[in-house]
Amino acid sequence: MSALLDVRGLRKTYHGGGRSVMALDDVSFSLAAGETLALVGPSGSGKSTLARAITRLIRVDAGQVAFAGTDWLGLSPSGLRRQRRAMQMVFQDPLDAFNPRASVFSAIADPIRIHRLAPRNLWRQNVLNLLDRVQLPAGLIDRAIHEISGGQRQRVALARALACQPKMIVLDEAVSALDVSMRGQILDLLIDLQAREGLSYLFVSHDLAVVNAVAHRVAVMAEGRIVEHGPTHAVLAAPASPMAKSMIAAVPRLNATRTS
Amino acid sequence: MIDLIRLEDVSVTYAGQSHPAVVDLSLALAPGEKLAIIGESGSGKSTLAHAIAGLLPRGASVKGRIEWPALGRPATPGADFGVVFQDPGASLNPVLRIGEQVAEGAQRHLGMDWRQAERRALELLEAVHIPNPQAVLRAFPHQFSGGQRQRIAIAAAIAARPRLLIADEATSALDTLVQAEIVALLANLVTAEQMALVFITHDIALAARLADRIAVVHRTALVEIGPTRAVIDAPRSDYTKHLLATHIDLSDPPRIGMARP
Repeated sequence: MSALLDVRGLRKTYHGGGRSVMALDDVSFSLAAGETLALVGPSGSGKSTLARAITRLIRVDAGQVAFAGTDWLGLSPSGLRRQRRAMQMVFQDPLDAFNPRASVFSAIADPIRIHRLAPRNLWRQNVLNLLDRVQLPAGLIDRAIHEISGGQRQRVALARALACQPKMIVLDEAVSALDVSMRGQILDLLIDLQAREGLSYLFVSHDLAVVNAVAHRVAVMAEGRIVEHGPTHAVLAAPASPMAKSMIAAVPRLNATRTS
Repeated sequence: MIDLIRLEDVSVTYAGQSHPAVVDLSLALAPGEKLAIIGESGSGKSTLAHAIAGLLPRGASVKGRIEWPALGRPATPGADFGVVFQDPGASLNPVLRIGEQVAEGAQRHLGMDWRQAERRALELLEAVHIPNPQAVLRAFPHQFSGGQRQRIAIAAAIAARPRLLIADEATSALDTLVQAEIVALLANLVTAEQMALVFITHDIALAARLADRIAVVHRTALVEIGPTRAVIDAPRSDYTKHLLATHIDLSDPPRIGMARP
């Protein structure tokens, strides 16, 4: 099967304070339609830089990205505007992504309006359908973003991404800030949407327990490089790289022995 | 043993709020004990910590009693207990050199002169495993990563050899690797310095790694408290059962079918 996303040889160096840091060092991977790839690594390993490079929030120094049959990094600004909705992004804190005073309706309808995905008289119905797809009650539609809970906001962020009819969503620590009970519900929702709609997810996380729950494959990053990748169960059961080994050892577990 | 701290029927209501943030909460902590307080956002767990530390905002009303039986007097912040927060920026002054901030507690509460306090700061930076501590004394907080800043905040919090360290979501903003290091550091420090620890977290597995006892707070009330293993293996409250059931553990089976698309 041909990949939805194919990333080859990405490089990015940050310069500042008289020093250079290689944030991405020859990074290559691919993602199939309907698949979830987790990018894991500690802070500073390059996983967020990689997510930002792929979503074209930052420029890379070298490398190619093929996405949905386009030369993604080579798209002109107008080409990118036309294609951008196919690749959406959801961040850790949905409050950062919204005007907190905006209504749930306008937060979700914005992309429909901007990308002219439906005539104005259908917007409200579209938003109601989207609320239903992310399992939010229709009654929330006129509430302000700041009035709803963190878990509900993350569902609204997902609904807004889905409004664009994407092929792929980049989830950057999208469940990390949620309470545990909410976290599981959002993961189940993501899995359900994927099963029904064939979405691909690039799932950026430092939480291996969550990655184990949702990802088909995992790529482990350290110092700007992918140091190990493979099927999630294989990497977690038999990690080869020192980084994967330390990350697995660091996961708190209910039945582990105490630290002291 | 005489309790280090005892809370009896403590209720806290913030100014302008009609409902209390914590209701009729009682618990006691023994000297040297490691207590984890767990709960979700809005449960009241941080209010509880702030009440113990006397850090409630102006206008908050506190009912009930907070006593320090082992001290026989009200506690002095910094001297009798230290606090570290989720954001080390909240405990560290950005324009003060690391050495001055770590030494300050020792100077103020242990009656040390500047030279002695600086020696204590050096010792503390070594104890929290900051590399090259001599040079770090002259550095500023912004020159360090989040994990290193949290180590420095811990060093400053324990400078005056307090009997209690309160860690309020102190590892929540850190990645798993750094979180594990800080938890190990806290466990070792409280043992070595014979401090008690109140560790506030939303992560029950992290609490299990560190605590002697676990207190579970839900919707402003203490719903369960007991020895760590007992709370995890045989929880009594429905809410604790719910927390354990929704916990995502590395050993859980995947939620996705492993059949590739």
